[in-house]
Amino acid sequence: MITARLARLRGSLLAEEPGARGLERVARNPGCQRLRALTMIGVTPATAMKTVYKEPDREGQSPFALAAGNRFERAVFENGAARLLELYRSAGRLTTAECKIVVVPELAPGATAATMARRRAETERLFQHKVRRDPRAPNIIVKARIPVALLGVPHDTEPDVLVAADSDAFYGPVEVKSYPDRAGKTNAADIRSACRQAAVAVIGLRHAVEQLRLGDPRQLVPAAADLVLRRPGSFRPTLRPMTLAGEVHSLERALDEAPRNLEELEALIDAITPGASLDEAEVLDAVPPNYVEACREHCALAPKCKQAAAACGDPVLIGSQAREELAAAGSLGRAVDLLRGRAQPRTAEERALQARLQQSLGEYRQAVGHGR
Amino acid sequence: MAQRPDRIRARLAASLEKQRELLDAFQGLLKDPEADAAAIDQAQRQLTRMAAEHTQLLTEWRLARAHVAEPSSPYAGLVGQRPMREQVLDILEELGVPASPRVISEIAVARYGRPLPASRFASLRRDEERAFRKDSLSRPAWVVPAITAQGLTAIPRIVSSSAWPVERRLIGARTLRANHLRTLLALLSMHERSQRAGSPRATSHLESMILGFAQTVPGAIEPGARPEYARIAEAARAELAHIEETDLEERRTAARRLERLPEPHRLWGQPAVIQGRRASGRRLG
Repeated sequence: MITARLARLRGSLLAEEPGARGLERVARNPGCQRLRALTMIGVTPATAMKTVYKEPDREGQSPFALAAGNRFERAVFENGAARLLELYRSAGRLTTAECKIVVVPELAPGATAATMARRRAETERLFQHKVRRDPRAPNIIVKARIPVALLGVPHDTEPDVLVAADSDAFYGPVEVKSYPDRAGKTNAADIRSACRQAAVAVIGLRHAVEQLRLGDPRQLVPAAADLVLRRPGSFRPTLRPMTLAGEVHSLERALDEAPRNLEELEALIDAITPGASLDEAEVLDAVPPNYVEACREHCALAPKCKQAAAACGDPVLIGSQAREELAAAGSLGRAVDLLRGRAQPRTAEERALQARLQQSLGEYRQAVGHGR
Repeated sequence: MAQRPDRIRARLAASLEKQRELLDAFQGLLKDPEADAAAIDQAQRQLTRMAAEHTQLLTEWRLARAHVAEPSSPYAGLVGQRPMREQVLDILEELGVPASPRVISEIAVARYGRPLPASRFASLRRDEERAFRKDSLSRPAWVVPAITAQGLTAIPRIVSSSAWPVERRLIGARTLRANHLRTLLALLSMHERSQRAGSPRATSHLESMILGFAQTVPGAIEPGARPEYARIAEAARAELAHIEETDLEERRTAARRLERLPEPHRLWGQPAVIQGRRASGRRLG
């Protein structure tokens, strides 16, 4: 039923899996209804840019970065995840006897719907073993498949690794990234992005615990994860435990913004054109975006949204702070008119803004010597 | 059919010789005041045809050279060799434990000097199953998938030999690690044999494999020091001793369950079934 409703909203667009990266993207810009709508129906901004707007998407990762990432993952997971096991042993997190490893995609290789269902079932079985304290419960699960109902729509997420010692009550997520670990000098944006993706895994695990009635989700899955990064100049992994309370909280808040579920999205689209779908450029244009400077970092639709912001003179073009400061005017043109006295303020807020702007201009002129 | 570049060069040389003769004849015709205009025209047409032939031969020569320079296809080396299935079974016999296609392929480099293409393992497994179902007695051993100790379903990306005892083909919770250590020990004994046989290529390839496997075994390699094979073997055995018994016990228990299944399921694993809400099995192949 949900599948059919999503298919109607997608129109001719093919369904994709947003995964943790897609959900993390929503959390970066919770106010963007356009991004949220696309994520809900399972379409990436890159696909929308290419297929709906017929424009090249500039989101693609560098092929070198992709190849390096794949090689690093292969190095970490090969030979029964031997390097990962060694990493956790040398960190004192697993003992010699705690070497139970399951690589879920090896149990069900392929990419068919049946394969994915089997991966979900295998993951569920492993979780139940763990909660029952079955001695066969693995210590490391590679690429478990966890269904998560986020934004009111079921999505599957595949955390890179889940790890737990025999004495742990449940699994904690591990995010494997090929970013070079330069300790305090590691790229902060890379770490933030990895932490947000790990936060998606925390939410996914909590959801699974709740769905399977395995216990108290927050108690079994604390807001924490491990980042496995690359030692610079080699393919050897490093381990960084992280607390994710802030990331999990902001993700939960972001996912709680409207449209929160399919009904709200359908109502939004029907209000634009009844029965419309998001594969039409006019319909997608009418879904409100929320362009901010950071969009360029993660969203392929950023150039399109920037164009729209420029067309209406959105103050965000000169920074997010300007958008807040000039909110009463609504546009750069109106703000300049108020400043120059070419327009009369229509509200008390506009009047206050005009006074503030004119005062600032006076101070500026005085400071640079034009006021004498 | 493509020709070798040296043959094309020989044809080109012969053609040039003929062209030279034609040019001489053409020059003679031009000098002769009595020469027939039709003969001159014909000589010119032959020269034009000759030039076209040279262009064609030169193109063929360039193509033939490019073809020679291309890297050979990964399967080219298998032509005239023993069937892949037999090479895989031989390597598995040496290892003594189920292994991934990548590991088998790397050992093939040490043994035969060329890798067994990992991409062909999926089709090999399908061919084996098809042949087994057609006539299960037609071959003494089959390349079969390893089987999970829990669900008794196949793990297609790990291959084993049907000739082994059931418990050796099973993968329990600790088996991936135990097999990593057993593979390392098998590599060490292959290395020793290749050293004795005086095969430096195989020895050096095995050394690099051993290092890769030993790096994750606690105490096997001293950082900054040359690897000591006796120390690596000792460390691998020490770790194996921690988990071997529990692993074997789990696999033996599963083997008893597996032995009760029909023969095709014993070798290829039973079909994966997902329990539905009303406990109605949904078969997923």
